[in-house]
Amino acid sequence: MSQTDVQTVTLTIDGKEVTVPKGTTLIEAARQGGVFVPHYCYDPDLSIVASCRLCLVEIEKVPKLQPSCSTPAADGQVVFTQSEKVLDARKMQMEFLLVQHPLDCPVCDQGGECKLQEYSRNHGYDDTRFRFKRRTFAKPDIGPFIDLERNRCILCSRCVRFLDEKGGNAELAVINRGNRSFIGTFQEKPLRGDFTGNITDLCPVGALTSKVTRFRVRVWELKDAPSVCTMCSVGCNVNLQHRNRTHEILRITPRLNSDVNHRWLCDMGRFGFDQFNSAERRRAPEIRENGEWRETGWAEAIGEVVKRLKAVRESHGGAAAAGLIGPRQSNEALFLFQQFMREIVGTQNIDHRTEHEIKANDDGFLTSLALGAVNRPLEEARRADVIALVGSDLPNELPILRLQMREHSRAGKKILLAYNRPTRMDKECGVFRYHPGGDAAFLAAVLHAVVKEKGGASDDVNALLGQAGRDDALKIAQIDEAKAAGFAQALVAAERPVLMLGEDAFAGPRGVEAVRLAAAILDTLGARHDGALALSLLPTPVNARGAADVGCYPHRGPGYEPVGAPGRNTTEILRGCIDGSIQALVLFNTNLLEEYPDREFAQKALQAVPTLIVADAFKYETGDMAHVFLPLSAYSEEDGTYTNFGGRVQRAQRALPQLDGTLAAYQLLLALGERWGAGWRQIRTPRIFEFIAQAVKQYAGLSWDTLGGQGVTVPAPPDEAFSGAAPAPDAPLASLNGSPGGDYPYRLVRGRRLFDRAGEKRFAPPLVDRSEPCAAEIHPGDAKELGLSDGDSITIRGEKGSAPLTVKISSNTRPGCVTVLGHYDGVPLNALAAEETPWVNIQR
Amino acid sequence: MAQETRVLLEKLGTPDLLTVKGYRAAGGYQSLEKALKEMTPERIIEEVKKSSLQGRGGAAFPTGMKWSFIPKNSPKPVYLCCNADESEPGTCKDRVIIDENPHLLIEGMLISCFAIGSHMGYIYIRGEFHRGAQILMMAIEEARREGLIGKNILGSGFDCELEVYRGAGAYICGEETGLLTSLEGQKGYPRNKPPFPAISGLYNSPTIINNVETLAAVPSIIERGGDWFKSMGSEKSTGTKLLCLSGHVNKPGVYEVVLGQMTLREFIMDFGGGIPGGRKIKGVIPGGSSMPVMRDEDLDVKLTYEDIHAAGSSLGSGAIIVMDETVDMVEMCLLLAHFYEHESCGQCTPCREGTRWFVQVVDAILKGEGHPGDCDLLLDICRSEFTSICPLWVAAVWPVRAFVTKFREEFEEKIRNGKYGKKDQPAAMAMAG
Repeated sequence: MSQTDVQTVTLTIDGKEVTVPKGTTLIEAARQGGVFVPHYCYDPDLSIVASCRLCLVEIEKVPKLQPSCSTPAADGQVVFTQSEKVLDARKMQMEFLLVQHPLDCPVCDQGGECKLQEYSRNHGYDDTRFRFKRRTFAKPDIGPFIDLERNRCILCSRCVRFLDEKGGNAELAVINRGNRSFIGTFQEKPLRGDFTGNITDLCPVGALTSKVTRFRVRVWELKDAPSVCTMCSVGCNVNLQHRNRTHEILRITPRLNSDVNHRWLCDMGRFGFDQFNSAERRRAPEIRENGEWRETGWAEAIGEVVKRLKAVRESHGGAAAAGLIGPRQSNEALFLFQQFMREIVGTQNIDHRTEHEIKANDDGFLTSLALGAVNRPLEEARRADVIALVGSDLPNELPILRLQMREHSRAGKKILLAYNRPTRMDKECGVFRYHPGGDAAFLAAVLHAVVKEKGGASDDVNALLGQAGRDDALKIAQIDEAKAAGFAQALVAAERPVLMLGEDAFAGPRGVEAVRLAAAILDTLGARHDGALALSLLPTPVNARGAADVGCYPHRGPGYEPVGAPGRNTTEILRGCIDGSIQALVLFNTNLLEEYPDREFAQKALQAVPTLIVADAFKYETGDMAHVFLPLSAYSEEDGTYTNFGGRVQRAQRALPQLDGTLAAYQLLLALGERWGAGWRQIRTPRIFEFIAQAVKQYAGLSWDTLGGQGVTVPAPPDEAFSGAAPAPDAPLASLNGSPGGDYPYRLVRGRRLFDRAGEKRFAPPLVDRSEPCAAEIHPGDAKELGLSDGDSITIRGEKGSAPLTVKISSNTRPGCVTVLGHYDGVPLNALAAEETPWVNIQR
Repeated sequence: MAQETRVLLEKLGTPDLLTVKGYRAAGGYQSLEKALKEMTPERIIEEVKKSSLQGRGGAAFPTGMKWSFIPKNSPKPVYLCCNADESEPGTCKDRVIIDENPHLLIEGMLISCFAIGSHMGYIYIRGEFHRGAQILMMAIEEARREGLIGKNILGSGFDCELEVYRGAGAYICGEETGLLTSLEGQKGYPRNKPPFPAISGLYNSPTIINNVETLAAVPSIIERGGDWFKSMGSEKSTGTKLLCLSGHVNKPGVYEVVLGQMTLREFIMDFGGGIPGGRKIKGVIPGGSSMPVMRDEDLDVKLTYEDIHAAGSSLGSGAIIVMDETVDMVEMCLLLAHFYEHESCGQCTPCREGTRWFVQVVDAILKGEGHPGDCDLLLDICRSEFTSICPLWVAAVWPVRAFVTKFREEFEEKIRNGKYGKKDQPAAMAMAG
């Protein structure tokens, strides 16, 4: 739309002329004119009901006062928001709202940020004429996150509208009628949505407050630290609200950033902050001698680490040392980590990919960069008309992206979702279902269909099709040809399609093939914009992109620059630990035993390596195997930058001082470099970021200051970093995904769950309360055959080990599969079988 | 002595009036035939405009003008909704038409649909009218069989469907936009206006909502012309009007009269046969429970919309409720306040909170717990009458204001004789949380 198409209207509000686009409501026009009209039910992101009647304004020549939230501005209108009539009506509404409202401000958590308090003071009477018994309602328990106090509710219905229009499941409703109306759930059941916390932000009064923060703090004690959420790779902008006196994070609220999360947060990100306050956090370095742990000071611990690493370097050379760092650390820590390992210890054995077996150094993500993928899911989804998702259980992986998908769907965009089981967003999508492990095969089937629709393809694509035969693809993915054709036709018909691959698709055993097939689909469609392929990958760890950008790879340094002789990747490092070629292993922020898909292999490696150094906020079982354990401070206690999955570099500012006895990862690395005698010294985050901006080409010109409060999106890495074509798939599609049989007839499928006990989530009691019990989902047909019913105790046994589980019969799981969603401490599913051969049996 | 003039109720008593055959034998469906075959939609609207027919639901909006608000050549379907949610206390006129002469309503709706370009008409009937709904459904079924509803009605090429939708017993669903949300299957919450239903009503499409009596008047206007209709009654109150007489009269009932032929008192006395026991009238509500009550001395007003309006009340839906000297006006006020409190949808603030506050204050006065100043408090609450989404709050305010204003001495007396009425006991002491 060109500038001249935008029609405007000019009106007068309180004597001031305001020009706004046609269709703007009076309340927004007033806001633009610098006039604030008080309101309760109105919210710019929700539908308009005009029920609180507080925003009534006077319009010249209109006899009755009109609600400014629902009245569109018109040319020549003369509006008064402060006339006697308006102020009087406002006072009356305030009085009405307060007649039934309890005066329990001293024990109400909303006190201090309550719109009733504010508006009463500014617009109300200072006394009440109401002398009767106030109405009261029963108080239900609506789950571990939200406290509902109906007596305080003013029935603005923002919560109801949010959960209906944005949150995706209309769980709340206004029940009953008239003065007996109240907010509630169906049969008083607990809220089960993923975004329920937002209703505590939206509630203008104390009716909906956070149960997690409840009674722990008064809001005026809280200070804001602008930060980003680290629970997934969307990188939602948040405020870490904290109280220094007690060294606690007490609330996380969203911080407006319309390019990322707008003003919404998921419940996992919002209510998980008690991990930072956990008593389980370690507060002193520990050294294990003769099997006994001993607490010590930092000087000794750092000395011990340097001594051990130097010894390995001297006796075996730097290449006998290796380092793995979890992709949850800040860019600064990740950058210094690879710098320390490369420059000081002298090894290229570095990796951040701890959750998968690494088959090729250039994995699915790097392949996507080499093929020119745009990798900006949020922006691409906004621009596209058809969004195709393959291999992602979005609601459990990247909740805010899911929320936006729902908005896109409501805006009329078409969303295609291909996954191996039903997801919570199926209602909003065209759903395509394939067999677990069949992500690449599904893409191959779609590619065949796209080529057929288009009537031909390039030589490269034809070569790829040769390796991924149509019949093989359909068989492995277990889908109909017509279904694949349907997916393809929707893409072909799209004006601007975008394809997104979830971790299941691009990071699994056939990740590279999946990415190449996806790229081939888009190439055949001609879906390129400004040279970039409309392909976006959806990694889940918060700083997966940052770890890649700053060079935590064995074969690529900062900015994806290839290194001379590549080092070893995660899998090779572990193999090296077992065969003795790796003598020292440094683990930062990774609970490898839980994360690595083959627990037995990881355990062997950690047992075998003569020096194991673990740095983490919590000790976990991996820390227990270390020789030196170094406690790290939480991200909330140090400045850092994080790069989200779309390449947006954002600042997370520290909220609290470091917990006594802990060091930030970057401080620890600098201290190690200093003690080593490498000339390093302690510097602060902005200075480290300067080094990153020098070393990583795409970050050039950025600084802590220029990132600002909203972050900056960096360009894709330059092509010369990926000279030469991407590697060809190393085997035809049919060579993998062999079928189960013999002793292990079932396929173990592992899925994600937003609320489980993975990693640090187990240290946040509200998240644990919300998590559903770990269960083995079995198809009703299989259950019948095995004589199992819901709740039975069973043992799942694979080649390598077994795990006890409870049966849940569900047709969400396909026949021949056992699905376990989520990660739970005490249920070591990675100890059963290798990632590529997930075959198990079921025993009572 | 004033006489009834039957137009809408003309055919009542003819045999088999509930059947198409019987209705036809009494001259029914001739207007439909005339409208479809001899008239254009514009002509029909013109004729209705000429008749000066006003909406009979209570607001008395000119029907022809309402119809002309429907946008021409709307890409969306146009709907006609018949408001048969007759639930204003005192009102019982629509059910007479529905129960006794359903085909008159059907004929009126078909003509109206043709006039506004609608092919779908809904009859939203209150849940308690169980029998009426059955009668209507059977009548519609039979009319459909007879080719009066459906495709190509009477060979005219005009298609139209009618359907009965039963409410669940909520007064608020008689408010036109509350009716629409309820008809859409949602909770019966009224909507903000604008947009008005004629622009964006049912399913966001152009919609006309008319009362049963209004639609039932259409066939006679088509048959005998707008001028004939207008020739009856006063300048502004044309045609005949069904009046529902109830309360302390000897002969309560529904009477069809030409407005302007008599005074309100004459109507009550002539048609109602006087007051039982020859007692005196204390007050009369002239247009359904939401209209301001009138004192006995004000009853010699001409029975027209405009004259009663000038007297400070309104003829509303035509429900005339008579109260004799035995009635406790505070109790009566509480009864009405309680009705509106019970029926408020609770969506918007003033109505949800105000209706209950009314009940609490009036109840306190009645129980002898009123405070000096409570009458002023009630009147002050009334000032917010026009701040709600829909007219239900207005409907709740008017009776309270009228009772307190017109019978204030009864309220004050109860307060004076009550617990807090003594001068030496300041009211503030009774303040409670």
